[in-house]
Amino acid sequence: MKQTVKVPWKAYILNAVCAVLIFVALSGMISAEVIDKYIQGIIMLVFINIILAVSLNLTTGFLGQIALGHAGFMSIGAYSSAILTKFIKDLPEGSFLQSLPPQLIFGVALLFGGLLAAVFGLLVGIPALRLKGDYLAIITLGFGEIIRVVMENLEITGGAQGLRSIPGYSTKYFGMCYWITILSVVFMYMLVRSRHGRAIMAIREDDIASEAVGIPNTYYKVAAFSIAAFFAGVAGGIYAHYLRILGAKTFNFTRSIEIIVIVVLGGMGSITGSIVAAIVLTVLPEALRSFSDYRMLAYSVALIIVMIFKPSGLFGRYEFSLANIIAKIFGKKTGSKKEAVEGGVK
Amino acid sequence: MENNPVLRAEHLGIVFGGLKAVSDFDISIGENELVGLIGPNGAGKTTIFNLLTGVYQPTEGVIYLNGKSMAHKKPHQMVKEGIARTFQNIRLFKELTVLDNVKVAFNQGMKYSLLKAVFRTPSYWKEEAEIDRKARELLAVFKMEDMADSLAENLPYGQQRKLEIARALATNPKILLLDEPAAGMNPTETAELMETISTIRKNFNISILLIEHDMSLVMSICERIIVIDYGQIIAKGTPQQIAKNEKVIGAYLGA
Ligand SMILES: Nc1ncnc2c1ncn2[C@@H]1O[C@H](COP(=O)(O)OP(=O)(O)OP(=O)(O)O)[C@@H](O)[C@H]1O
Ligand SMILES: [Mg+2]
Repeated sequence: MKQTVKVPWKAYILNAVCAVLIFVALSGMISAEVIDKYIQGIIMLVFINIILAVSLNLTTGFLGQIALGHAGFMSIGAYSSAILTKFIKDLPEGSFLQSLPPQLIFGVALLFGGLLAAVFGLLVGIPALRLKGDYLAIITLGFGEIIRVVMENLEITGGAQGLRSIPGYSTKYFGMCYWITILSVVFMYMLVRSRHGRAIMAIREDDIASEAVGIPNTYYKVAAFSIAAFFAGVAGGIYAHYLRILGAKTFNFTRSIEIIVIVVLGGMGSITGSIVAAIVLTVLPEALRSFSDYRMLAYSVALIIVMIFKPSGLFGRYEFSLANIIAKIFGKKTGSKKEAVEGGVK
Repeated sequence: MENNPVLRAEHLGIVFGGLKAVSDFDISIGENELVGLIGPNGAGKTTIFNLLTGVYQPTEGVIYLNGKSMAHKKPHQMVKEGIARTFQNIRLFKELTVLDNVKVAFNQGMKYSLLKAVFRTPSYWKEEAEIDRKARELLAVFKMEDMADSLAENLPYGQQRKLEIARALATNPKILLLDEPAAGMNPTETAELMETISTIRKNFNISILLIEHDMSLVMSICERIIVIDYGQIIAKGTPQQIAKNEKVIGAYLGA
């Protein structure tokens, strides 16, 4: 939560290098077929869950408002982006839109899905965010369900039959999905560590005091809510172009619960915690597949154990920092201490 | 009456479920004045603060800050017009650092947009560096610069009260409302606090409206005192006048 006043070039470069290295390793393993289609699918789900969890953490962890309708926003992004790409795919051969690079079409579709989800976030958020705690949880859950039911019954979304033969862009442009995930995380991190993030956390800590020091609570609540909805929409878009079929039950409320479990387990208010929990809670059920009968049992037990011994989640509000770890390994002062000293002199 | 009241309210009143918590409350505070607001428990002092800062909308009357009507303004909009406050039950951002508590209150004076924050443009770094310096300077006024990085909830009680005042000052107010700032402090801390209040009034050139149960504190530092009971003003005047007022003595002795 510390504000650095100097550009932390070292940390930026380090993280960028790491992101590139992971990208190179993943693409290498995919082209060498070390990673097969099945594992690649799991990794795709990890990306999607990271975006979902990190964005939900903004409302739940940083803003402190329990919102349970994330799957609803995800479905808006999924359907709208899929409808767009399908529409372009089904245009007559040789039309202008079809001649565009598919990556561009995919990117624009995701953006479109995200923006539409954000608009709905705004529409739902303005009335819903007047409520707090349990009431907000219930009303967002309700809104999520309404959105889903409407989506599943419109003609344009394929009705009860669902939306089929969506172009498989996610698997095809795996690297693009990877970078979108990285960008989403970076976006959240930069947002949270800015004056806007401070305002959002102040509302979580005490909303009467935040107003009393000049924070427009409603503005920030609604903004955080629709930003989270935007990213849920983007994640939904990636999901749609991975599944290639959207149907009933794809986005029911257990989906929302799954995302909130990731956030709570990782630590409300820790972005890196959400990332780790998204990876663990996506991979673990798959890894336990051979014990199929006991799989969900093991999963639940793992959750209960964490909640008993670490109710604030694995990371609490702590953020894992590569730069700090490396500094520690090489026996230098840790980054945060160093910052404190630099700041204290001023 | 001052020529140029920083804060003025007329016939202020609020009803809670049939109960008139405050009625017909008038106040006018000029530049750099220090006014005391006293009264027995449950008299309506905190309610008056909540009215003056926009937490409650008055059912009657109007509030003016620097001559501007504050009707239907939200608390954060009133902060912009130059009013700041502390709370009777300390309300800090407990799990934020001391430094961040103060920085939050600077938010209104900061400009960089959300996108500029995300892209970490030079304006982000410039404003953040400036706010960091200002926040630390402000903490230094309260001799709290060494605690900048601890969580607010880990401060001792007296320090928490001071941090709340520092945070209120960060909004750059013209008038500061303090709700029982000495509550729960020992005599040494109280004396130190009185010093601080006088200093900030001088250095920041602000007016102060002070609620305080500690009579000696109120009598010694306030120029004017307003006494309320059952939500109504029962006396106004200099500390000397108030000390001799029959009604006030009656109210405090429960007569
Ligand atoms: N939100 C509210 N709803 C209903 N009644 C309220 C509300 N706020 C205050 N009151 C009532 O208004 C009256 C005045 O309360 P207030 O807190 O303003 O007193 P006070 O003078 O600050 O007392 P103290 O010295 O104990 O702090 C009390 O009877 C209180 O119960
Ligand atoms: Mg009170």
